[in-house]
Amino acid sequence: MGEIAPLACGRDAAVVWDRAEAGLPLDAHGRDCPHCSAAYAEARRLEVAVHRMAEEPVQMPAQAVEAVLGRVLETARSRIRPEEALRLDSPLGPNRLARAAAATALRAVVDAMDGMRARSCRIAQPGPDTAIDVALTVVARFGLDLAYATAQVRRTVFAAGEQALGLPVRRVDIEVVDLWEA
Amino acid sequence: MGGVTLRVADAAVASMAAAAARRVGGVVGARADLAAELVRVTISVRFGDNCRDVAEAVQRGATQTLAELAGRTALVEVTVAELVLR
Amino acid sequence: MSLDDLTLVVRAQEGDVRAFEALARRHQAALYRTAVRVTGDPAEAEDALQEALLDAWRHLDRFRGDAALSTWLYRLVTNRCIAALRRRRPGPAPDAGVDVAARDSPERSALLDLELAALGRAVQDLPDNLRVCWVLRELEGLGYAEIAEITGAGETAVRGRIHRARVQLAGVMRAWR
Repeated sequence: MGEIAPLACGRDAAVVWDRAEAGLPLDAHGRDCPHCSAAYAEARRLEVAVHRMAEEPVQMPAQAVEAVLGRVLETARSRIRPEEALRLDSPLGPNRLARAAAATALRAVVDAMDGMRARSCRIAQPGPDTAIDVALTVVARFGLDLAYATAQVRRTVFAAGEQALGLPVRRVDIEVVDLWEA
Repeated sequence: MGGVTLRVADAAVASMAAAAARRVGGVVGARADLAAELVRVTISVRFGDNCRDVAEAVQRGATQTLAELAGRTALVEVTVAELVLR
Repeated sequence: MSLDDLTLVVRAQEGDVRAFEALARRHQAALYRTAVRVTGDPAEAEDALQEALLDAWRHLDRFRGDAALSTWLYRLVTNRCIAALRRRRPGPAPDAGVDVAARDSPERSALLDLELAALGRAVQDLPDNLRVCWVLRELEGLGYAEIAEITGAGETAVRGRIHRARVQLAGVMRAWR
């Protein structure tokens, strides 16, 4: 199924219709052919109405959008599985830091630097202590001194890990995967 | 003899732990649940405050609160679920 | 700071809920609009949108960066719409559901409103599989290849469905006039 019956003159009706939809005129055959012309005219009439339909705004009220997003995001944020958490030291027994939260924070730290945006941030905690290895992919502004910038990112991530996360950082690997033009 | 026996339901224990967590500096939000004698407190922390230190402070606060109010010696595990930026 | 889709996707795949929120906000209007036009029912469309976004979160790992994110999201929402349509008890399709705002209109404008309403009913009367392809092409402006990816049908089948839909709609509108 899916075959389109040709017009009485043998031409493909869908081709005539596509031309009408695109606002292109008929070819030499079409102009003289009553079947093509009729199909074309009918197509044009319908397309005018369809364009108006396409222009009609169809929107949820802003409150409803927020309600839907709220429900979806709450589900996304719930319960953190063991493999999704990093260990935090404490004399009262180990605590946990969601890996995704730590990665988001480190990405924000990179984003705050001029000319760089973090894409992927992978954190590994091989153990036995709580030290982490961070692997970042970043996109950078064209023309940026990459050696200098990546050294800065490295320093900043070391500091953020220690001070904000409370995790010693063992290594920070940075890969520039794309450039954007200012 | 003749003392009052205090029984505190699990849900109440969880509420107390969450309330204690919220009083710790740097904590932006907290909820707790109790599963087999382990009190799990999940918190959001203001980014910039040291997660390890805040988590430990929450553990201390919750443990102390539960001992004082509910007479429970609890094992508390804190999970920092979110770092609130800005 | 506005990030491109791919950056947001990678972050969301790694559990960054804020990145996922940014994607959801960016794409929700198009997905809802499509769902309303396919189901003809704003309430069902809202459900389809919510379920599609949840599907997106749960199955982000299945999205590979080679195709456009919007194509993948369109597929999720049309799948949810088709499921909703299948659950419906047979009977007349609901009113097109798109309220054309009342206008203080001269005669011509009133006639155009009636025409739009008639077209809306005709669209809802199309067989489901024809309507899905037709909406994606005529109202969302997508190309045949993309619609084929979204529906899982071959490009030839998609062209056939759209043409049959157009023919049916043209016939209804001709009779209406």
